Amino acid sequence: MNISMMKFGSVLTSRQSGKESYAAFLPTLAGMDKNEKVLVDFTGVSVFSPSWGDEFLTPLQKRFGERLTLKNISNPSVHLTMVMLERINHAPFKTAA
Amino acid sequence: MEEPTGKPLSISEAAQYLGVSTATLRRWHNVGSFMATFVSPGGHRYYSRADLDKKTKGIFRLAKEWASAKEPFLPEEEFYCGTSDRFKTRHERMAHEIDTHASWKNIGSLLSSAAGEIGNNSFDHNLGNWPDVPGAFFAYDLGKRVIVLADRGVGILATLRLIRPKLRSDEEALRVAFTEIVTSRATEHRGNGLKFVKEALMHAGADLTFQTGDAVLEIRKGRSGFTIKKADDPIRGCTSLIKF
Repeated sequence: MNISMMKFGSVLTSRQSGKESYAAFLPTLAGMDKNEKVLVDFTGVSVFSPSWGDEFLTPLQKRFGERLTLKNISNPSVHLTMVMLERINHAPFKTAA
Repeated sequence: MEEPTGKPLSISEAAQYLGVSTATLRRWHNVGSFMATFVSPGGHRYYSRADLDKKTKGIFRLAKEWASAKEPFLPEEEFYCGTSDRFKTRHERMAHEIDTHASWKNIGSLLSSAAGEIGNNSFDHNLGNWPDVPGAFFAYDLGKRVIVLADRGVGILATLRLIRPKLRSDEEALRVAFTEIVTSRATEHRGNGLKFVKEALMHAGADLTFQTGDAVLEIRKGRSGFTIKKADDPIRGCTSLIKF
């Protein structure tokens, strides 16, 4: 499954918005195959923050583990958020170019 | 609480307010150095109190005055985000304005993200507990490269004491907030936003002056780490000045 983060907005910073986005996306996740991989694509996201990311990426990482990959993370705020969440959760993300 | 004074001033009232002549105001408007807030269809120029205060005091001083006032009052409408939704809307507007500057391509997202974390912190840590005026002061002047945020919330020390009861001072709380990874419950990671703010602004080569209680933390471009000193005017909540 590909998740286009841009569909949640281009400025993703608040904890509340991250939580709402994850809750809204849960039904889509429920329809996935058991071993399906998840590719989270940050194309089009201009501002990202750990508060939003912690509410969306952290539960995805817990749920899918090695099956989760982050893609197009060159935006400085996306990259720094990813590094920060890895430090907080003690769990590295898999990334793709 | 006092209501903000919303009625715009005529050019003669604005001139009196600023202590300049109407001719000077017209000249400033014509050269673009200080424009009227709006011009009526009949060609009359009007000035909001917020614009005039911004001209005379600067937005950081306005934020500090609001955050430190003994008698609570509502800030000017232009700078006041009473709800997180309003902050979200205004913050997104700023992020898009920053995005349009090609020269800020590598730092824009970090600046907007840091400002977002600070502003959202105000709401996340004070919802339901605002001591008096709820919400955040949020203003920016991209021409002067400054972003200002403030709140009259409970402050960093009171927030962190919920998970670190032994914290004793604002200085200690600031140090923890800006350096240590804090986890209160397995599923709850609130309290780590300011570490991100520090790193984002250092990457962006920006300065930060952040006050809570009687402690002021300073991050300065080109210097590693941060310094913390005693504030001249203690506040209960937080004020932030980002310069880039």
